[in-house]
Amino acid sequence: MNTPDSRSDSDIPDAWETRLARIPLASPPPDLRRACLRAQEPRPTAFDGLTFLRVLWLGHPWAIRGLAAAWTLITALHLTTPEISVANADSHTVWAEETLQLVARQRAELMATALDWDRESAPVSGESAPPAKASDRPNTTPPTAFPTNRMS
Amino acid sequence: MAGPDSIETLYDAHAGALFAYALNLTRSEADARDLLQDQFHRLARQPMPNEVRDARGWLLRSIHHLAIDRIRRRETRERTADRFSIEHIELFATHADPDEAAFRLGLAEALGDLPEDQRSVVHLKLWEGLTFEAIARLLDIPPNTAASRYRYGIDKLRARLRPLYEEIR
Repeated sequence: MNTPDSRSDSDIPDAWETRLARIPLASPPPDLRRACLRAQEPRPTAFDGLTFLRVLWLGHPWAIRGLAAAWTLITALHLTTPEISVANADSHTVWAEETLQLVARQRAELMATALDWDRESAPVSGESAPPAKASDRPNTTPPTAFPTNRMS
Repeated sequence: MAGPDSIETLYDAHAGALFAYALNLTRSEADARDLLQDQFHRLARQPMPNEVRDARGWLLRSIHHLAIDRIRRRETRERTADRFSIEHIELFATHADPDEAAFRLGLAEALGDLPEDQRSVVHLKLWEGLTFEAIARLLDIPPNTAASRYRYGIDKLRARLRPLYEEIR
């Protein structure tokens, strides 16, 4: 067969193209018509999440806008407010050895002062004050059981 | 305007062309059916705009986009599933003559081997009788591109079907 040269840059089809173009296309299946046209009939719509939101939005526009404005404000405040550091109770501060000793000394001095004040304010008439218990005596040595986070 | 009442009219006038185009593009009857249904369901929800003068062109353009979306999704799915199935489709009307039937079958298969962009242009040119200008507008491509895609496509068909054509001639 001598198929003609392709002249397909032109809009005029050659014999080969005409031959092909003359072949009829298959028709759509008959049942497809009903399926396609069923779309015209009112169908019960599934009440999914999107439908719910659409109904909510259309039914209560001011409520939704108010919520949106509130959240915008909250977000804006959150973004613009500088971060405030909050003391964390769980954080473990490591104190210097000198600081610990200084605090222990001050604590001992304060205890001694408090015990002296107790003794001075005790009743003097008649009976003598009961002997101070060993635990009441001022402890001038640094406490060994000072609550620290360290084992030493 | 194509209101909801005229969907039947639209279907009767264009469904055959739309179905064949969708079938040729997707190479799957199930996909073509889905696309045609989708197209008309969309029309029921949102009628064709008033300013549309060429209903066939508008519908072809719409189903073209739907078909391309479907093909892309299918390709991704098939790549993921690592399976490629070749479906035998009845693109052309059946014919009693076995030679002619064989030629039509061969043509349908040869069309399937064309790249989508060439196949769509060949289809629109041969079976919709559109000019390259009209095809270019429909597919959002320059007219020269439409013409060159057509030329490549038709030459491949010619080479592929020449033996079969000569045999039945």
